Formats: sequence, C-alpha cells, structure tokens
Amino acid sequence: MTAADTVLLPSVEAFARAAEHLLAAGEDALARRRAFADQQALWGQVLADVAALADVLPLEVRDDLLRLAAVVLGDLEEVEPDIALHVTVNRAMRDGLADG
Amino acid sequence: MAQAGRTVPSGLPEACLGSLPLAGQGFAAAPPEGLAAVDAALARGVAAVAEALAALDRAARLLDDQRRLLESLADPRAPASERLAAMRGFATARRRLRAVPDGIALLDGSLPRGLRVITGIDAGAIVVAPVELRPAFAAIAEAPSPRVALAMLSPRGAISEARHAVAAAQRRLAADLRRLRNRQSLNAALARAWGDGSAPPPPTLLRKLAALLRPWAPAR
Repeated sequence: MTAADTVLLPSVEAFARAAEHLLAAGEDALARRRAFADQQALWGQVLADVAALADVLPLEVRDDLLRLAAVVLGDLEEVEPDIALHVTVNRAMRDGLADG
Repeated sequence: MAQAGRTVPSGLPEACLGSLPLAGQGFAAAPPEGLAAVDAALARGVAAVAEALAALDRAARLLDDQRRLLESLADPRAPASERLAAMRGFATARRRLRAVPDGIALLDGSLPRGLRVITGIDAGAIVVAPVELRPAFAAIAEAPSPRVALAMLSPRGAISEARHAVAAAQRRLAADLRRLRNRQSLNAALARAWGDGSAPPPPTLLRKLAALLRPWAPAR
C-alpha cells in the first residue's frame, strides 16, 4: 500500500466550507476566532498530507502546496489575519481540486 | 529505525539544521528528549492559552452583563427595588471580573498569576510577557450612582475601555494559540515526512517544511 492509497488532500467541500465560515464570521470576534481555527486545522492537514505524499505528488504540485501553506499558516500568526486572503486561497483550492 | 516519542527525525541532513524553527541550532547536539521537551512545552502552551482565552470570554460576558445592569442604574426613574437588584447584580459581576486576571495560571507557573502572551520560544521554553488587565477592571466603580453609571456607559467610559482591553487581549492570545498550533503541525508534518525512518525523505522537502514559518518573531 502506498501513501497515496491512505492519504488524500482535504476535499473540495472542506475548502469551500472554510471560506464560507470566514466570510460569515464578519465582525463577530468569537466567530472569527473559530473560523481561523478551522482554517488552521484545514491547512495543517494539507501540510501533513503533503509530507505524507512526498514521494507521490509531482514536485511542482508539492512545492505549490507548500508555498500556499506557508502563506496561509504564516498569515494566521498575525493578530488580525487577512480574511480576504484566506477566502481567495481556499476558493482557488476549491476550484483547482474540482477541476482536477 | 524510528524511535518512540520523537517529533523530528534523527539524522537530519546537515543543510536543514539551521532552518528548523523549533529544534534550531541546538538540534544537532540535542538528544531526542530535547525535542520531546519542545513538544511538551508547546502542548502546555496550547492548554494554558486555551484556558486563558476561556477566562477572557467569561470576562467579556461579565462586562456585557455589567453594561446591561448599568443601563438600569443610569435610569433615575427606575423603581428602588429594580435599582437594588441591579446594584447587587453589578457588584457580583464586578467581583467576578476582578478575579479573572488572578485566576489565570499560564504556562509553567513560574511567574505570579496573571495573564501573559507568548513572545517566543527559547531552548524549548516558551517565553511570555504579561498583559495587564487589572487597571482597566479596577476603573469600574463599585456602587455607581445614576450619573456615574451614565459616565461608565459612555464610549470612553470604564466599561467600553475594559471591553476594548479584553478584546485586544483575546485577539493577541488567539494569535498566540495559532502560532503554537502551527508549530505543532509543522513538527507533525516533519515526523510524517520522515515516515518510520527507514528511508530518507527528500531533503528539499524537509528544508521547505522547516522554513515554512518564521521562527518566533514577535506577533505584530
């Protein structure tokens, strides 16, 4: 059994859902905190999956995902993360995975 | 061969050592238990910050209660019985609010109790700085008259100022929590990239994973 048999990237729906939660949070501080926590868990999973799929993913895809993870997780360390950035990245992932 | 309890694999390529955000320069000489200590420190930090955030959520609710009660107290036409009930509720909320900063025991407990934020990590120990909410809470009067109640309810009054202070601390601590969780994720991914240790992972992947997050720059 290969890593690809057991590990998958998060689903299209997971990226779409996280983006919608971020947008729906608006100015509600608690909802924003929860949405950012969900986003972090999602991209932590991406990081883990890329690591597990290191030998399976095409090099270019792996590097692109790592770069995106760095942008997303890095911004989540800010006191005020940029919601627009996270929504944009998640929607791009949603569309990219749906096309693939 | 894999070793139980390791979070970052042994035998890491020399080129990767300098950029490991958690293990840092100490990795080459550090025994496995040193890395386990980093993970343990992260876990303690996550638990402590989550506890502090829960306490701040309580403080925010108490301030909202106080605002509602002050609105009753600010009304000079309110019946005496209503004012008395509001005054009692206000006093209880005020007492509970003042206890919040003292009730938070963060991290290793080496400092006096109080709220702290994470400023970095050094040799496996999480570095913290105090966040002082007590002055903002102390500015809330004990038994407000209608005039004082109105003043406290104003946009620059004691309630608003305390609420702003709590909100700022919540945002800062939430960022701290995310910083800690990022490093937990990174450690887990590094361990996963290494697998059972029987085959070397691509060094470039390790280097990229390790360089993903900036090494504990103070939160902006």
